[in-house]
Amino acid sequence: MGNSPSALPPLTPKPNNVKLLYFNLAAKGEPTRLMLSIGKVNFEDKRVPFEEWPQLKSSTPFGQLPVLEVDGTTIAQAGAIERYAAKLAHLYPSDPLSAAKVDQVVCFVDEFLPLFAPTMGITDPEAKANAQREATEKLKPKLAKLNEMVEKAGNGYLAGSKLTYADIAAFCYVCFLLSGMFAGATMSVLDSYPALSNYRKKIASLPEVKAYYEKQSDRDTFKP
Amino acid sequence: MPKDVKITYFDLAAKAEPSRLMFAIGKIPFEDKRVSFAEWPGMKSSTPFGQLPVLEVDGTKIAQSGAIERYAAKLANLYPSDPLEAAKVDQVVCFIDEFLPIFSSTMGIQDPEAKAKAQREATEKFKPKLAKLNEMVEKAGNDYLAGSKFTYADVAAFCYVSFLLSGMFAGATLEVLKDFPAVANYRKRIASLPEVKAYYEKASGRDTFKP
Repeated sequence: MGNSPSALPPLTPKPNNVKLLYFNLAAKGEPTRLMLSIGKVNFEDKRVPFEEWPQLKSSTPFGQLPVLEVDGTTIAQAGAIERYAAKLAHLYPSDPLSAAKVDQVVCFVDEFLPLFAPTMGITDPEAKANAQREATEKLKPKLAKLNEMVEKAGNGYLAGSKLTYADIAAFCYVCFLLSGMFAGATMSVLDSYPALSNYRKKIASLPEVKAYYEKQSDRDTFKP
Repeated sequence: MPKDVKITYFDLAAKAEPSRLMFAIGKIPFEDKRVSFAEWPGMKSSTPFGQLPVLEVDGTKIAQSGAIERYAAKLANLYPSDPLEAAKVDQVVCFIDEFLPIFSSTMGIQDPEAKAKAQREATEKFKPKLAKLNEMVEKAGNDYLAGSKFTYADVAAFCYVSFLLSGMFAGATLEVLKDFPAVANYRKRIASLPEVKAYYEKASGRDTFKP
């Protein structure tokens, strides 16, 4: 008994009430938002203002955001939330080996944001900008690797023959980190990685992705 | 079921142990290849990301320990098929994944005194995470970390706690669990499960994984 790669995932009834709580940032909330949208799952996209966060913190499982509430159950940790959203949106294979190909890309992409996260707490603007420019330099070898992965990908998707959670994670984190929020980290960085630059445009141009971002503000780098 | 499964890693618990244990629990025959540090530079470029562990399944290579672990968990029936139940497992694993990085930066320090000092500092940073795990174990009561069944979440917690407190890192021994009695009991409880105990009876260099 086993799953063939083309078998459909078991039918999971869509949940009734889904609420994502995160800050008003792409960062760790965006892949989930995009996947729930692609999966046509109705969800409340709650953006928590930074001032409200200290009061809310102790009510979350790990004192962090994002948190996902699903019909009374609370799930924490961005990776867990993303994989759940991916399954609802049919963007995660049911075959374990095919799923592992998705998971390995996501594990790799998960190395990107931590390069920049320590720079967020630096208060001195000059020190912060320096730290962010250094982080951008550290991101470049990872972008080079991702560029190579895109080049090697036969069908133009990172894990298999169609769009999966792997592509959503890569797309969202590249677009967010090069959004100009971090000194030195803008779209022009992708000039050195043409395959990756084309890939970003290709994912952004997918009808379901394009439609989502047409209705969002502050997501210029997520558009084609 | 795959025909040929091979996991390649260093001769350490660290990032391969949860997968090794889950393949064993699932009675999936696998080649447990241990690479020496001397051999590693020669094989680095043949791996997908220049890192270990790497899993080979009937000719397909999978890298990244998290991906390998979740694959092993599914084969061993330690990962729920229901997405929400699986998310409860994944969230625990995400949290446990924060433990090893606290210590891994100390591995590259050459000077023994500086290394020991850095490891003792790492042990202090580890304690709040053990406190959180202690709370999670207490809340689970007679259940396991992600519900009423033993899952990948428990394997990850057990393996990383047992490895990090194995004495490999200065200051980080099982003594640390004196302040976290629920975790201490939990470690013994998981170590005593028949399939876990049987695996470690045949292993060397794994004292802290035994009951």
